[in-house]
This record gives sequence, C-alpha cells and structure tokens, in this order.
Amino acid sequence: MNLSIRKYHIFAIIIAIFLVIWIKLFYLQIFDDELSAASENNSKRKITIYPARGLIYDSDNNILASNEIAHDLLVIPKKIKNLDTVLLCKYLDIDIETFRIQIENCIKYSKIKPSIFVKLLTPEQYATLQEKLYKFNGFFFQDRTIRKYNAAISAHILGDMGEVEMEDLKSDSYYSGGDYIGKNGIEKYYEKELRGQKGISQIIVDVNNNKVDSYEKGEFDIEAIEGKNLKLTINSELQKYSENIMKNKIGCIVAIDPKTGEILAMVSSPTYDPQILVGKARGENYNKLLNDSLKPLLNRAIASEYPPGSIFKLAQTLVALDENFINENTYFPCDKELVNCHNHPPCTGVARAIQFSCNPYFYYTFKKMIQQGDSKSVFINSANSLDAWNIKIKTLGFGTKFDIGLPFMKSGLIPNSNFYDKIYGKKRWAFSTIYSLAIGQGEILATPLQMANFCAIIANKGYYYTPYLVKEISGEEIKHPQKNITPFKEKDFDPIIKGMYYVVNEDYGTGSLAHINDIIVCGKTGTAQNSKKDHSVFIAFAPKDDPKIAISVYVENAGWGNSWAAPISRLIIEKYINNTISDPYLEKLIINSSTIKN
Amino acid sequence: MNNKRNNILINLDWLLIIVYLALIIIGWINVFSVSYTDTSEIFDFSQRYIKQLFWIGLAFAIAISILLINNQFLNLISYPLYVLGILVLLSVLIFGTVVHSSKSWFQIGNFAVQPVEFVKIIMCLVVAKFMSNKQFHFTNPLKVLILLSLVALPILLVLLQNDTGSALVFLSFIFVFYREGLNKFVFFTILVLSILFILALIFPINYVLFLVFLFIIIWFIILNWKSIHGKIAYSFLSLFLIIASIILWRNNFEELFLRQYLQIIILSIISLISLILIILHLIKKNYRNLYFMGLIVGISIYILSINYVFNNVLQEHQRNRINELLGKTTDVYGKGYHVRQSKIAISSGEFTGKGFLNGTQTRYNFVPEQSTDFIFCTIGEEWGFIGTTLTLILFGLLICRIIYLSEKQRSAFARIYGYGLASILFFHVFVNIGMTVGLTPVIGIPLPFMSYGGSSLWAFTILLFIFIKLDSDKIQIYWE
Repeated sequence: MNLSIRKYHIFAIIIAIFLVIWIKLFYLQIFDDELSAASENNSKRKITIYPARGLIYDSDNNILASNEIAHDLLVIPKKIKNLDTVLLCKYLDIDIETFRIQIENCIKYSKIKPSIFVKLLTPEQYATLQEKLYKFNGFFFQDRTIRKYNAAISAHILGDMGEVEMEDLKSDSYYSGGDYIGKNGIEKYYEKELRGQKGISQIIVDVNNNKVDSYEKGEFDIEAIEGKNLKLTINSELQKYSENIMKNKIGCIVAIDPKTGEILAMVSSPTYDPQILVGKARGENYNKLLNDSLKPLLNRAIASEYPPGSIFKLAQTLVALDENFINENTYFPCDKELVNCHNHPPCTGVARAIQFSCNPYFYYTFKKMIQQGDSKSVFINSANSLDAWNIKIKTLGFGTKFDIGLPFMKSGLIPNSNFYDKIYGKKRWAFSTIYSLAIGQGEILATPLQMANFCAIIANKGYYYTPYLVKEISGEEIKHPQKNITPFKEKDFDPIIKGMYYVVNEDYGTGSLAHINDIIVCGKTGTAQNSKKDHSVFIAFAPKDDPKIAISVYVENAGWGNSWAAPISRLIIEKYINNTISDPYLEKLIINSSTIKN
Repeated sequence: MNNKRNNILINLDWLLIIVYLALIIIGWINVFSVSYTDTSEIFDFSQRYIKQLFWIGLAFAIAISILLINNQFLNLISYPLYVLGILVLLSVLIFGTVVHSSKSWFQIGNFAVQPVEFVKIIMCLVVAKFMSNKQFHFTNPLKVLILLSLVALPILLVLLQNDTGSALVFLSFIFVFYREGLNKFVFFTILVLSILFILALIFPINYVLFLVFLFIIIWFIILNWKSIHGKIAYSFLSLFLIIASIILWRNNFEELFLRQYLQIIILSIISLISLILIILHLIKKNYRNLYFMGLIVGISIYILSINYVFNNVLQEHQRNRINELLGKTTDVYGKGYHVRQSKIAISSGEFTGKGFLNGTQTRYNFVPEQSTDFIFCTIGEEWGFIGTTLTLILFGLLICRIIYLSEKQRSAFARIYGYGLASILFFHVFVNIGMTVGLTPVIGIPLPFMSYGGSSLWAFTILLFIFIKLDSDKIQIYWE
C-alpha cells in the first residue's frame, strides 16, 4: 500500500479547514456591518453636555428663576467592593429590600456602565455621603443642574419643568428621554430660548468605561450654548404684595402699565411656591395640586373665562356714544321694570349712570343699539345690530387671545348672531332674548387679562399696547407689536372716565372703598351674578390724569364689587404708586379675611 | 569544519526560515500595538513588547544552537527526554502555580514557564522514534497499544492540570497515524464524528442536519450517477432545493431555521428517499443503498443524541461550562463575551483595517487576552482582511511546506517528526484562529510564533528548527 498518497488527503483537509476560516473572515470583515457597528458602540461614547438654562429676572433685575446643582448617586455594579449595605441604606434612608431591588435593576442595565442609584439627593444626604463616600466603592456622584425658583412668587407666570413626554420626543428631535422641558408658563412658552443648545463631546472609552481619549481630538465635539436670560415686566414687589393680599381668596389680579402694555403683576389665587414642583417631591406635589378642588394649577388671569358683570357697562357706553345712540346727557329712568336696580339718585347723564351702575339705564342703551328699527323684522334687526356691536366690542380686546408670552390662553366670548342662531335657531331670538348682555351678564365671557387691558384702553383714551411679560431676551429688548388704536373717538372716553371718577370719589359711587386720599383713582365695580355667591369684580386705573397702572381684580364668590375687589384694587394701586399703605387697618383686614367657604 | 558549516547553511530550507521570521515580526508588531500606550516609555522593560523582544532574541539563539546539534543525538535522547517530560508534568501538578484556573505553570522568580509547551517537542520526538521502528505496524495491536499509551499518559497529566486546551493538541497526532497507515475508515470516522460533535454543539441542530444530509445526498448522487438511483436522488434533491429556495424567497434565512419549516422538509425528503432506496434495494438487491440509508440514520441518531445528552442529561452548570467553551453565552464575564468582543474587533477591521495602533477594540482592552490567545484580533482589527488573509497564507505555506519536505525525507524518523510538527501547528492555528472568529471552542491555546509569551515561542522555535535541522541533513544521510 502506497501510504504517501495520503499526503494529498491531509493537504485537502488542511486546505479545506483554512478555507472555512478564510470564508468566515471574509464574512466577518467584508459582509457583516452589524458587528462593525458594535465596535463603535463599544468604544465611542457620545456625552451630552447640558447647557445652563437661561435665568429669569423681574423688571428690577431680581432673579426669579436660576439653576442649582443637584447630585445624583450613581453606581457601577462591577466596581462594588466590600459594601457595607446597612450603613449605606442608613445614609440614604432606604430599607435593605429597596436597596436590593434597586441594585438588581442597575445590574440588569449594565454591570460596567454607571446607572443612577438615587436621583436628586437631599442636601443633607449629600453632605453626609460626601464625607463617607470613600467607604462605598463603586458609588459616585454626578452633578446635574435643576431649576431653582429663588422667590416663592409668580408660580403661574414662571410655570414649571418636568421630564419630556413621548409627544415632545416625537415632535422635537432635540430632546432625548429624561431631558427636562418647560411644562407651563414662561418655561414652556420660551422653552427654545431658555434651553440653549446641548453640546456633544465624543470620547473613546476602554472596557471599563473609563475615558481614554477624546475622539479625533474633539474635532466632532459640539460646544453647548447657554440658554438665553429673560427679563420680565413683572414687578416682584408688587407681585408679592398682590399674592399676599389674595391669600385665602379665589380669583385673580392683573395689573398693566397702560403706557407700555407691560404686565406689572399677574396673580391667580390660590397659588403655590414654584419651588415645590422641582426635584424629588415634584410628582407628589404636582398630584396634590392637580387634585385640589380649588385648582391652584389654573392661571385664572388668562385661562378662566368669567362674566364681566357691570364693568362691561363701560364698553356698552363707549359703543353707544360712538354710534350716537346716546350722548353724555342722555337720560333714562331707573324704572326697574325689566331689570332690577338698587336705590340711587336719578341718572342725569352717562357719567352718573356709571357712578350708580344703573341697570335699567344700560338696558335702555343696549335696547337702542340692538333694536334700531331699520328692518321690519325684529329678528333680522337684532341679528344685524348684534353683529355690528360685536365688531365694535372686539376692537376693545374682548374675545381675543393676547400673545403675552404664556401658553394655555383662553379667548373669552363675545357672542354674535351666529352664536344665538345655533342656540335658538335663525330668526327665533331678538333683543328680549339677549338683553342681559347689556350689563355684562348672560353668554358674554372675558378673562381678567382682557378686563385689565380694557381698563388700560380707557386710561389711554382709545389705544393699547398688547400686554406682554418678557421685555428683554439676553439683554436685548424685544420688539413688541405696534400700539393698537381702537376706532373710538377720544372725546367719547371723557364721560366714561368722569363716571369712573364718580364711582370711586363721589357719594353714592359704587366703588367708594377704592378711594385713596392723594391718588385720584377711576374705577368701576362689577357684581357678576353666579349660581352660588356673586363674583366681586373691579377695574381701575390711576392716577386719573397720568395713568400709571390699570388693574382688574376678580374675586370669586365674594359678593359685591365694592366689598372685596375695590379695596384690593385700592391697596395695589397705592402700593404701586406710593409704595406705602395709608390705611393699614384696611390692609390687615383684607389680608386676614377669607372668602373661601369651608 | 568550515566546510561542514557552509554545508548546513546551504542545505537549510530558507523558505521555512523566511516564513518563520515573517510570522515572528508580524506577531511582535501586534504585541507592540496592544501593549504600547502613549504614556509608556519606549524602553520600559516592564512592557510586554520589550519582554517579547527579549524572548525573540533568546529564541533566535536557541534556533542557532539547535542547528549545531547532531541528528543522531536527537534520535538517541528521545526516550530519556520523554521520561524527563513526564516527571516535569508530574512535578507541575505538585509544585505548579495556578494561572487562569489551570495548574500548568512553574514560577521561577519573575519568570513563569509552561512545561506543556516543551512536552509537545518531546512528544513529536518520541512518536517519531517509536513509529520509525521497522517493527512498528498498525496491524500489530501490542505496538498500537504502546503507542496510544505513550500519547495518552501526557494527555492525562495535562488534563489533571485542568489545561484541556493543551491536552487536546495531542489529538492532532491522528494525522500522523493516518499518514503512517492508520485504517482509512477509522480515521475518517473519528474525523467526521468529532467535526459533527463540535458542529452539533455550536450550531442549531436543524442547520447541522441540513448540511449533513445535503452532503450525504450529493455524495450519493456522485457515486450513483451512472445508475437510475442517482438520477432519482438528483431529482429529489433538485425538488428539495427548489422548495427551499421558495421558502427562502418568501421569508428570510433565519426564519427558515426558526420556524422549523426545514425540519419538516428534511424529514419528508429523507423519508421519501429512504422509501425509494428500500424499494430499489428490494427490486435490485443493491446494498450500497442500504449503506447510505444506514449512514443517514446513524448520523441523525448521533447528532440528535448529542443534542439530547446536552439538553436533557447534563446538569445546568455543565451546560453552562460547555456553552462558555463554545462562546455561546452572553455573560459579560464569560467566554461568550470574549468571543463576541473578538468577533466585533475582527469585524471592525473590514477590508483594509484601522491601521497600526488605531484599533480601539484591542487597544482599549475590550478583547481579553489580546496579546496572548487573542492576538489574531489585533491583526484583524488593525490590518483588516488583507492582514488576516496574509497571516493565513503564511501559516498555510508553513504547514504545507513542512508536509511537502517531510515526504522528501529519507528517514522515517524525520518524516514522522515533520508530520507531528505540521499536525501540532495546524491544530494550534485552526483552533486559535477558529476561536477568535467563533468557529471553535475557546480552549486557550496560543497562536504559534505570534502570541506573547516565552514558553510557547521557544517551544515552537525548537519544534521547527529541529525539523529544519533534520531536513538539512537529508542529503548527508543519502550520501552515507
């Protein structure tokens, strides 16, 4: 037997096996892209650098919102050595079982990558742990910035921040899971300005996730850009004072500088300290606020639509004067036949009617406007007149959403013929159906912001600047819309202002409690009818000849306009203009009273 | 004297020496790449690449001194060396140091020597010596028994050291035995069964069965092409492949295996073919058909029983241990992780590689044992497909050249020694590279001439240069 032939068999086997290896190499190195990609994942890490979020200042450059460093406790399970579990649990204030579950979750995620063990340590926990951390191998801190609301005020203006939700992630690729985003208020509306631009640092790591080098000498790194700082129009002192006054009352205050449209204060009560929605306790506190029957999360100033009540008589007057349905000396009897009224001297002219807030007077005024008689059908007549009226009223800012810099704004409602057609059907309604509009009741709705703005229009005798909250973005004044000029004649405002002067400063005036000795306040009360107790409403501006502040106060279920809203307005006006209160007894009384029924 | 030295230089096989040097250089470059860091000083003697340079220098000295030894001397000291080797292995068991859970090292000061590497040389010599005896023949049971005992004794001792990898290396002598007259059937049976054993454990059972049947059917067709059986089987195979292609077209490849379509197809095709074979046998009394049927049934039972034993008889920890060896577990610390990291590293090299010192996977310790058992990863990552192909070609050239030269030897001793060397080299290269690409179990044996470490480098240098020396003397022997 010639055995040397067998060398060919052996050659064949060797070459075959080498070929198999070679083909496998070919497959791995030429074909398989998945594994090559895994190589990058292995060694390249993209580290997101979070920029500092923009700060928020008030109009006097006091900080309202800033950032502070919070500490998370991280763990790399592989590096845990000789762990004194009991001691660590004691420091962290958790039980052993929680610890065990937590550490198992971390291990499940990765043994060699760091995972967050405890989020947002309390300062006390951080202080104790910092000294003892050397005892716990594998545990370390990671800093992160969280929002800090420095003054415990203006929660509804500033809003709050929370983790991004699925929709945010889908709609904006900027975010990744776990990022924080503005959820409400300025934080939400100016999210893009405040957040800045995330940076990316690419590094090469070794098998233990330690940084070895920066990737390509940092050529592909992107520097983080800090968020822009915002300067608000809010006057912190006034805001704080207003919030204090509104304690234990439900309602809101909006104060505007009529000369610029700047919102000086905006209070919605009940309110809360914005800081409680930051950090660890956020979830719990948020739920508490959400489930509170008084709805503290709601910004009533812009998102509650109220019947304006008697303050709307001013708007009626303005339209009627403009269309010459009445003049300043027009007289209507206070006959109380159709609408009720209180006892007061006769209304010899518009100003007096405003002073006494005479319901029949405005009923007749509105009747004149709606039942013009230019059509034989009373229905068509009413519908046409109402639409003309609607257009005029809307020029006063009612029924409009102002772009003041806050989300979740409501528009209020000024009804037109369509609106009533839908309810009653075409030609099935007329003046007698809608007459309660005359005194600001019925279907008409307005937000307190619109009421304050309307007051500013009167103060300016015919024009307004769209109210706004943010006046500077990173030091640059932002352009605000041109002033809005209403179609009303300046002289038509005189009897109204005169009436508002009487309301506060003359006998039988319905808003006598708004009187201040050294400041001439012009105002108008309202008592909006409500199924429960009536709402107390007041709008005012002061001083009469050089208005510096226009204000609306709305107190829910508090009764007469003069009993709550008027004195509150008085205090705020005096506080803003004089910075002192001449009647501390009234101040104390208002602050310490509650309108909330238990 | 002068004349004789010239003679040696002329008669040396310079091709082997050049390939040897090339492998050493490639190996060192990659050890350098793995162990060099920007912060380390170039001539820092604690660095592996400097140490390796030192080992290489010593290896060259050893190589030269081997060329000066008389061949007869090698022949004479084989048996005494064997006894010495066994004694050393025994003493390692008693006095050795445990490294990576195997007690196979001698620690002398800062040096650690792994005696089993040198036992490979002794085994080559002893096997060559014993089998080159004219009285040895595979038909003589006593001689075969002695031969097997000679090989089995060191295997047993190495197994006791818990160094399975090195023990398995000696199984490669089966190639030597085959070349020297081992029964063809025994050889191929052992070869096929061991390949199937590994395949059945590494790959899904469907996959293996499919490939094996395909192979057997094609073999059957080739052998029976001239008769009607072959053509019938061919038709069935074609039908089967058409159905398989349709399924492949409808689904993706993985789904084919996951959804067990394949099992159904295999079973139906096999039973159809078996039925036809049985009918043909009954009609024509052709025993070859029965043989193939037996083959198919036997191999199916073999593969399925491996699978069954693995899944049902073995304890879970035993299964885990085997899965670890096979690189199938995904545990971060297990060997499965090593294989995955190794494959990632090689794969990321793509065609041209990332370039010298640019391999992130191997340089930043993602691949374990990068400079020793997994040095091939660095080649794959930094030099790409070009580098790995070149390395394979060099090893292939080395092994084939050794077999080619062995066949030219006039003395049986030199030829058998050459085959022993080629077998051991082949086993090392196959298993080492195989494990880095996930084809073979991770049994931790070094890549010859390339892996970091003195013991293995010196042992392989001695092994190779003994052969080069034997080869250089073939002309002298002829003259005598």
